[in-house]
Amino acid sequence: MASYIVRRILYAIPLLFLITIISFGMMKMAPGDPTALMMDPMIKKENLVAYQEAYGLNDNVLVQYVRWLGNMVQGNFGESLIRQGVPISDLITARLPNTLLLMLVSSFIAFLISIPLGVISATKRNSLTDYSITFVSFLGIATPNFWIGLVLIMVFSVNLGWFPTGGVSTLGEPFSIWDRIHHLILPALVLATADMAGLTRYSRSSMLDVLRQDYIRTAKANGFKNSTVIFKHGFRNGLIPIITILGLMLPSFIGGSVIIESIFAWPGIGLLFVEAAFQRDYPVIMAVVVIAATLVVVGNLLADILYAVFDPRIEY
Amino acid sequence: MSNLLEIKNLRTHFVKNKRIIRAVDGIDFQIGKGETIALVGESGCGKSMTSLSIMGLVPSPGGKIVEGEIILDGVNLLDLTEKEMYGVRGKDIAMIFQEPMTSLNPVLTIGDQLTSVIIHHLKLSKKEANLRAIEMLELVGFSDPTKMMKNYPHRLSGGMRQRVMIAMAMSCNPKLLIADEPTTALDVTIQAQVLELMKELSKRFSTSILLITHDLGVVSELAERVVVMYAGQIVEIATIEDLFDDPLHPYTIGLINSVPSIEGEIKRLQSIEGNVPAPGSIIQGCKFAARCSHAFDRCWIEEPDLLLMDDSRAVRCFLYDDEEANV
Ligand SMILES: Nc1ncnc2c1ncn2[C@@H]1O[C@H](COP(=O)(O)OP(=O)(O)O)[C@@H](O)[C@H]1O
Ligand SMILES: [Mg+2]
Repeated sequence: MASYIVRRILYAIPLLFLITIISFGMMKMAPGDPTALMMDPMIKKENLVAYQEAYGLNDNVLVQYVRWLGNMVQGNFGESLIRQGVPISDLITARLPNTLLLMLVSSFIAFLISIPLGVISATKRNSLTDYSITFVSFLGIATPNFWIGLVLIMVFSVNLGWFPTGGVSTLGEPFSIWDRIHHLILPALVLATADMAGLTRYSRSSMLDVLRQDYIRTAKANGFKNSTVIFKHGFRNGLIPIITILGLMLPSFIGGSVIIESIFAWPGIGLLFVEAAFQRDYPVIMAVVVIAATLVVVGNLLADILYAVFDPRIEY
Repeated sequence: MSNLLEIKNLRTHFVKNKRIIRAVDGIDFQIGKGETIALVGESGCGKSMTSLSIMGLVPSPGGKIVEGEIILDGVNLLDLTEKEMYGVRGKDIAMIFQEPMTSLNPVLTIGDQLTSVIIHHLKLSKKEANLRAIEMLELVGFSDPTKMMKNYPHRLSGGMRQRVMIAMAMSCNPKLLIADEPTTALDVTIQAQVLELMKELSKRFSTSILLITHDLGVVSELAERVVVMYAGQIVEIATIEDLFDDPLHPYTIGLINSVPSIEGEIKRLQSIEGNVPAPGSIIQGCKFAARCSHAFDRCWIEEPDLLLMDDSRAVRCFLYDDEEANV
């Protein structure tokens, strides 16, 4: 098992390299360079060149890439162009925990609601319950979740005043868990809805597939009661493909968090990314892209490992 | 010989696209204590549905036992609640299936699967159940049963998995073992071993066996009596000797004359002309008439009853109806 994990990590490294190359390449191809933003447009040509020299912008592209990568590996993402003098790593360490918290809680919500719904739907196939769950799922798939977010803010924050409209905590108040949870509920719920519908459909079909298998018939023929057949013999098998989905869901979660963080003014890396994109803060954009991609790679790695834990047929 | 199981006028129907498929269409037969009975017939004639009806596992929704009695040791299983059936399945009646490759749960060890059944029915402690499981694995021919307990099914061959299935089925001393095409998916050499094993175990524990097959070679190996099914009905019942020496029904004769393929895998015997009637089709007269070389006018109009020839013999054919005997 340990060697399997190490092998999987080693496989992930070239992928991460590729991501840094693409991220770097795209920024290089974008018009203009950082000095264009930093400097007074009236600056003298020689001075501009001097700055470009000083920042190493006239060096060979490869040299620039290696320098950027080398710094990044050591945790140095450079400085923001807009917020001058602020190290990007400080921005990231301030923002990343918020995003991770949001994603963790909302994926927890998504799984906690979707998987049981999917299982119920499958075991009561073609019943009114199944049809209702299916109907709501399709409604969920068809509804953009920023819209759900806006509606929830309208109803629960603006009209009813039950929840704050945004932020991670009430400004100017001392830290309190309840306050944090209070702020977390709406954005986490909305982010969860992004994948909940799909996940419900997926759990249903996975479970339906399992319930058709011969070993389920064997379990019934052995006299086990229905719930034992479904949970002991069915559920563990049905969970295996769902674990893969966990890995596949991460990119959409990160994409979703960009939108949800903007709507709820949630100071995570998604919001950081949006701000940086509007301000053409290239080094910040690059850092966020690399970090988001790393999250996806790590997420898939975890899914693969979980998969191997759950499915004895995986040889490692 | 007293009867262990009596099936009376069993009818199991499916409803598909508003049409009724008579998968089992009024069958009667008995299985004696310790007796091995074979149920033969081409694919689709209702053998599996007969066995699943006995188990109370007719696929639902869609399938339903609409009439009849299934009496095991004096108790009509169709009167039992689902909860009461939990105690019958795997305990009084155990079953093994055609597909050993997929009949075991891939995420549970062999030991887990065996002991859970043993604990469920025999109410033994975990430790006692372990011992019992090891004993059963040894009995079905595994040389290192303790190690086998920790194995997952995917590491075993089809023949080994079928042995595990047999160990599991026999682990709670069932009165009746239903084996639905237990060797069809196996290599010929393995087939013989598995049949030998079933024969040995049934003798040792005096378990009755309902052996379902379309392979008459398997029948002659194991069974004492044979029930021949066609289109959901019984067309002939005979002892094994009578069946091979003097088959009566034209369908039985066709089955015996047809040479099973060497691989033993071909699902349908080729030498009887034509096909089994399409499921759900309505046929007037004898259901076999369209494929029968002896069919005469009456066969197309009336449906023959199952005629009792003597104690151990019955046939559903006008050729043996006395009124017709002198035609
Ligand atoms: N799930 C089902 N839905 C509808 N019809 C079925 C189903 N299962 C079996 N049948 C019908 O029941 C008949 C008997 O099937 P089966 O007992 O499996 O045959 P056998 O085991 O003799 O090959 C077939 O004609 C088939 O069409
Ligand atoms: Mg069958």
